[in-house]
Amino acid sequence: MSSEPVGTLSELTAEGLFALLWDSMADLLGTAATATLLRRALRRASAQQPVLCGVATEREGLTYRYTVPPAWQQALDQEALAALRALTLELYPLLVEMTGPVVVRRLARVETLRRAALAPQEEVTR
Amino acid sequence: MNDPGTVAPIECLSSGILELDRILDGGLPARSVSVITGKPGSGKTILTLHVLFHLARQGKRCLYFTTLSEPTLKMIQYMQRFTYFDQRLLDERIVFTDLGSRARSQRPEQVLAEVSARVEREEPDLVAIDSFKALHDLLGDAASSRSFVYDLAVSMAAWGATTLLVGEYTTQDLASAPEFAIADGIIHLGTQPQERASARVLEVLKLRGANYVSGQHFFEITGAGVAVYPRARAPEVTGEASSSISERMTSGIAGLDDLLHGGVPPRSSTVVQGSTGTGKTLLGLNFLRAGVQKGERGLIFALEETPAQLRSIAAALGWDLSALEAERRLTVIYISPLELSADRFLYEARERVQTAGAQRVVLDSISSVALGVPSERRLHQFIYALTKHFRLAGVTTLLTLEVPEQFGAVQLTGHGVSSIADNVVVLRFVEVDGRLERAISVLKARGVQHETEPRRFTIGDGGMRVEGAFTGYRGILTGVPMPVTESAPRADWRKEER
Repeated sequence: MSSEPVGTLSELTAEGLFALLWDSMADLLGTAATATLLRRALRRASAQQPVLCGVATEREGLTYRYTVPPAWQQALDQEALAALRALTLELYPLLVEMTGPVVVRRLARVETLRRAALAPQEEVTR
Repeated sequence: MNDPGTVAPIECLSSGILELDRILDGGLPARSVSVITGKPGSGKTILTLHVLFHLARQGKRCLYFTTLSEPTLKMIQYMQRFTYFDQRLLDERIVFTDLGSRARSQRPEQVLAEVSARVEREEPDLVAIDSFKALHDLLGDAASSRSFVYDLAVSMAAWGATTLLVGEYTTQDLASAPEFAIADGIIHLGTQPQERASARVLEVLKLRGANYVSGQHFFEITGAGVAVYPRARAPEVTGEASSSISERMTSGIAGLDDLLHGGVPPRSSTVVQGSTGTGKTLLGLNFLRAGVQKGERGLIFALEETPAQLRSIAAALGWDLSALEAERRLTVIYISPLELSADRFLYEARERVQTAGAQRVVLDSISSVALGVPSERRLHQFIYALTKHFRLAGVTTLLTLEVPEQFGAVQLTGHGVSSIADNVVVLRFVEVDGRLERAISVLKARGVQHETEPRRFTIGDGGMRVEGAFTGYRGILTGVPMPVTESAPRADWRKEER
């Protein structure tokens, strides 16, 4: 699991936030489940946020990897943040459906996700 | 050489399952490495999680590595169905982490470093790797596998963690996989076929430094997790209270007490055997009722009649069982013989007897218990253990046993269990002058004088009555007695035979 990035929100990138989300999930569920659940959420969220079509997860050898739009490597902007929020809004209900409150509670404890308003809301984690 | 009095006891971690702790001689030895083995579906993960959540409740920190067995997604889903699950403990006391993704893409030393780093960060009291077998399979050759397991065991012990390696190993793996040589403990979960059903069994194959209970122990998976019922075995008899040989407990039937010179000794076990309809259950109810009248609590384990049927039988004799039950002077417990597991029954029966504070217990019947016991030898062991446990608990026990009626033959023992009992009372039908009568006799009464002559007994409005001897007949226990004529006394026949 990668360590949580520190610094202000403006110092973060969308790629870094997505990596944090991926790593936090993969630490608990493994990369196979993480990739699949994110793919499901991406499919749903991309209708509202077409930029999410640029996020891909795929199997590479014995593990899974992801790619994000090149623009996500730049400083975090509002458009990328809105896309990530749309993604998490689709993802968290899926996680609750599959695992109850266990995974979303773990994600809710990730400080950087909380600062970026990407952490699950209290009603989801309950 | 150490003085036995100065040897430090091994600290144990409770499994959260009282009976499993007893089997393990106190629990899992702290800082030990134990392997939990079993086929898929044998309950390994459920047992491991049961232990983890229990320890977390005790304030211990636990780290659970999942690998490439049951997908974590599903495990998380299913574990929430058990009452031991408490989401408040997650990430506070129990940390789940996936090791499978790393194990697939990294070298063994990297995986070991990852495990060690995580243990260093969390400083857990207990580490579980589920499935370690899956990890083992990714390690490749035997040498690197052994080295990995050894380093892991050393690392976990050095960090002060007790470790559970969970895996679906085969019997061959037990002899060859290095984890079994290195592990301090091996707990195997399996099944034991029982006719068309199968029972879950748990067996401790190894536990260094512990005087564990060997053999297969029945266990169940319930909504609360794992429930273990140790195999039926007799108690260790130490400091048993002695009773005066002159003490007697009335059977509630005056004539039977006369045959026993006052009744059965306290804490003794009595087998009442006879064919169907001879009055065994009724004799048992009489025995309980007599105790209740003297202020002693009674309990009947009924495997043949339901409580409603027993109440009806008693009511026909003018006894109100319901009233005694309501006053908790009598407890009626019905157990379907179809659902019976002898080991579980012994465990629960001891608890029930203790809860009810029973001084008199009737088991009706051994014949029905036999349906739930795989072999005659096991039945023998079960009855032996049951009577010894009850004796130690200060209980006087009466067990009924159905034996087939064989006219013309004396059937003295059934299932070989009569030899275990202190006393044996035989009931049987006897054909006298074309009429069917009932006969009762005391075949055996350990340590006390008793009459051996068969007596008539009747069942009527007043209950059971033991009457006089079958005067003028011989061979009563054959069921077809012969009249003794004055012209041919028995002694003379013997002379003739010579």
